Amino acid sequence: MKSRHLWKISFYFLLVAVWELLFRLHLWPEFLFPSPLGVLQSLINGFVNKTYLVGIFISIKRILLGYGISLIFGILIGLLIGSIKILDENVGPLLLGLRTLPSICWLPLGLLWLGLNEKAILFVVIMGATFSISLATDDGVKNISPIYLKAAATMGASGARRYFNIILPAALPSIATGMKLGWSFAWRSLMAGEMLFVSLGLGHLLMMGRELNDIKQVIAVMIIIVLIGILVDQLLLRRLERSIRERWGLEKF
Amino acid sequence: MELVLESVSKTFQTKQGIVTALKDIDLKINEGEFVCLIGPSGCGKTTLLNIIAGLEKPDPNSRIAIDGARVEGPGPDRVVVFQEDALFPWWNVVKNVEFGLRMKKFPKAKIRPLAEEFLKMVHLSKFKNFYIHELSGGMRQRVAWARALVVNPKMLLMDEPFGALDAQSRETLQIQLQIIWSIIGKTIIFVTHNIREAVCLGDRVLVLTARPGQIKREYKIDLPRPRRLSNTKLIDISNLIMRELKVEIDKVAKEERGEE
Repeated sequence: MKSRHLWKISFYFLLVAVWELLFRLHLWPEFLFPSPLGVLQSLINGFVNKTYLVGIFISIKRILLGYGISLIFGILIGLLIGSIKILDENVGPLLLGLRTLPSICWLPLGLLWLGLNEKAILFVVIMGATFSISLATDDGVKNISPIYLKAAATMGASGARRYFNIILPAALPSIATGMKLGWSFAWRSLMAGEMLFVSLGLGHLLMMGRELNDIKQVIAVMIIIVLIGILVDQLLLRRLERSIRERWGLEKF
Repeated sequence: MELVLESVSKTFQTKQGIVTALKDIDLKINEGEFVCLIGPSGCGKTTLLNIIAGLEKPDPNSRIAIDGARVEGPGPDRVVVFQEDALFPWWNVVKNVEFGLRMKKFPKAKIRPLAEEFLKMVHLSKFKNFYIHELSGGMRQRVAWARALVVNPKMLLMDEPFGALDAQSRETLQIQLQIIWSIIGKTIIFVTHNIREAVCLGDRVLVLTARPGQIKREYKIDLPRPRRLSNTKLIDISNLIMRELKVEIDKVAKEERGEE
């Protein structure tokens, strides 16, 4: 375990060293290829003058709202198509199709319907994340081990009580997988949406970097976006998924 | 309590044609009896158990009745104990045991004490707050018994419950099941493919034929309890039944070879 961490640290150290080396070779002009220290300086400045902090805060506020709504809609739709056959046969393939649509493709529709504002960004986030959450939930409901359903039937569970006591918890491992998928779609969609206008979020800071020809800011904001994405995925959602799968006896760790 | 089966048959429609799984089973089981069903694999013993449980429908002219009332579907008077883990991993042990009571809308204040009483009976009081994945196979099986018995069913239907366990836990559970059965005095129908297990547990052992499954013979086992697998008389009876069953197993083997 320890040596694995050591390898990881050495790898990133090496990566930065190569970056620094390439910078010192002056293969490209500095305004196209910044130094690691320059990017670090931009990061520090951004946090000290609070522009990055504000950007992070605004983006997180948006993602909480957008991802939250996606979760509610996604899980509800998934449970419905998972449990009602006629919905599954008709709506299921439609969702499958809509999921393949890259989320940014929802933007023109969002702009026309809702205007160039906050709502359009939320629309893109919700459309980008909901379908994959729905489909994972649907998958979970459909693949419930029949032994649970038999046991529930033999103990006299039916209707709503069967739904909340058996079906929903039995589908939870898949729902957790859907939450993880949904998160990555939501985060990407948000960044795409934010780049389009003065939205003040991280996506906007990225575009501002481009407009100011400040390559250091561009890279610094990209790093922040990656870090937030990974942090939520690894520290929050993956742990949640793992602990559910472990308790459900699906995996041993 | 009396369970009566009259000419119970079960046919399946498959791509290869109609398969008769069970044919004209007549059977009467009295209150408090321990009946074991054995037979070659695929003889329909699990199907028969599922039909009694109400989880599968028999052919239209079959008749199954408990105390004269026709069986029409699953119900908490006939609880099934499965081989695989049918315990719910999202709840801890005591919540699993409470499940049937909650479904029955039992008075809330009485649920916990009753569940704990049954956990005590299967010697798992100390583990009431454990989750299922933290228990051994033998402990899980005993939780399943407690969960089934707490709803006060008329009978317990057990579908190869020890199939996935190692020999040692199996023997321990065989003794424990006999002790619990002697306390609660409920009817048990027990499906197994292990002849010695059937002789060890049953008052009666019913041998089913290869497909279509019919009751070929029944053996009354009059040995003192609790019985152990090492009992020499038990081994003698098992060998006797083994010879009977061998004929049926050979039939299945021939059929399988013929199909290849």
